[in-house]
Amino acid sequence: MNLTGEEKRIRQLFRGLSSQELEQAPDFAAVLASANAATVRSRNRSRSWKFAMACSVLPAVLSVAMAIILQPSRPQGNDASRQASTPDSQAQEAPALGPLQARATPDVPPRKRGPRARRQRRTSDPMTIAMKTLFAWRSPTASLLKIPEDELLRSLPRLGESFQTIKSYSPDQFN
Amino acid sequence: MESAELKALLERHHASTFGWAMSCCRRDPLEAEEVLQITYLKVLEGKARFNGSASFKTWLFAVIRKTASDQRRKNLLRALLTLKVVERWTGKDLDEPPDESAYRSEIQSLFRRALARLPNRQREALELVFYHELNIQEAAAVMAVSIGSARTHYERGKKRLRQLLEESEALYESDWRRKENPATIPGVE
Repeated sequence: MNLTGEEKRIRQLFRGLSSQELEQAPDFAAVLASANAATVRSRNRSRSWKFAMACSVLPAVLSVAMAIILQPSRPQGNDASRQASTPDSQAQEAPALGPLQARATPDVPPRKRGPRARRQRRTSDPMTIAMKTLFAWRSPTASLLKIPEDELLRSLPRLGESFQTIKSYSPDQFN
Repeated sequence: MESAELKALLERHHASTFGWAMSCCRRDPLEAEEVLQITYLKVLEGKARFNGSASFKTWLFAVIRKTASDQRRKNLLRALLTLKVVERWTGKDLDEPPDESAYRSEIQSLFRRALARLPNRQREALELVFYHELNIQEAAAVMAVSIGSARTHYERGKKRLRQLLEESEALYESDWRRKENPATIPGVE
């Protein structure tokens, strides 16, 4: 590389700089040793950070889990009151539901539900309650429309059965 | 490449890599040493791999440059977080090296100051060519720019450095004259 006068001067200045800096240069072995020491230090530091994080997060997770598990079950006031008010009307209006629907409402023991199911039910409660209330409603004058032949009309005849037999069936006994 | 071989290569280039690290760290020896430590670890642990596409020195210089840049960013973030940067901005001139009094000659001191006032790319191009005696192509590889771009930085750097040196020398001379003979300067008693 052919250097001009200006470039030669710059190079000279840089040489001066270089010779000054070389005196400050640390020993290679020392740099390597301190690099290794720094690595060990940073590893230890990161390990202790991880441990501290685990120690702080674990109690929080445990407390949340305990809160979910020990959460008191929702009072079933609405369901209970509805069930308490319906037996009579159901007994009266069961024929109106028809035999198939009547069969679908036998006393089934309530299933045990976990916290997740309870949560899901809680979220859909208002809508479910509204729907149930709507379907359970019966006109107060519905009983006036009842006639003695209703049972006969609502029961399904079977082959080979006599009229007397059919008549004796009540919807609840059907099937 | 094996670890022992890498170590030998690193040791061979140690002096010049320290000079380059100093350049990347604005002549701060402590920061330069820290950057060197990180670079050596990167190389020895295989986080930075030499693939042989350039010379080992060129590749190592590029790694140092990248490491110094990352380190500067980290330090800036740390300073911002601890609000130390406010002290730095209000305290002293950033361009002024910390060990100004240690410089041997005034000319060298002026040269350092002029160098510190150059834009980064221009300073890097000049240092790689004049300090580390790389050619423009190698300098371009270290700086991660095209050869044309490196050449432009080099030429502009030379021009700017000349201007800065002339300004500094003029200031130095007038200052010297004022000290020697105050009566020669108009307006000075």
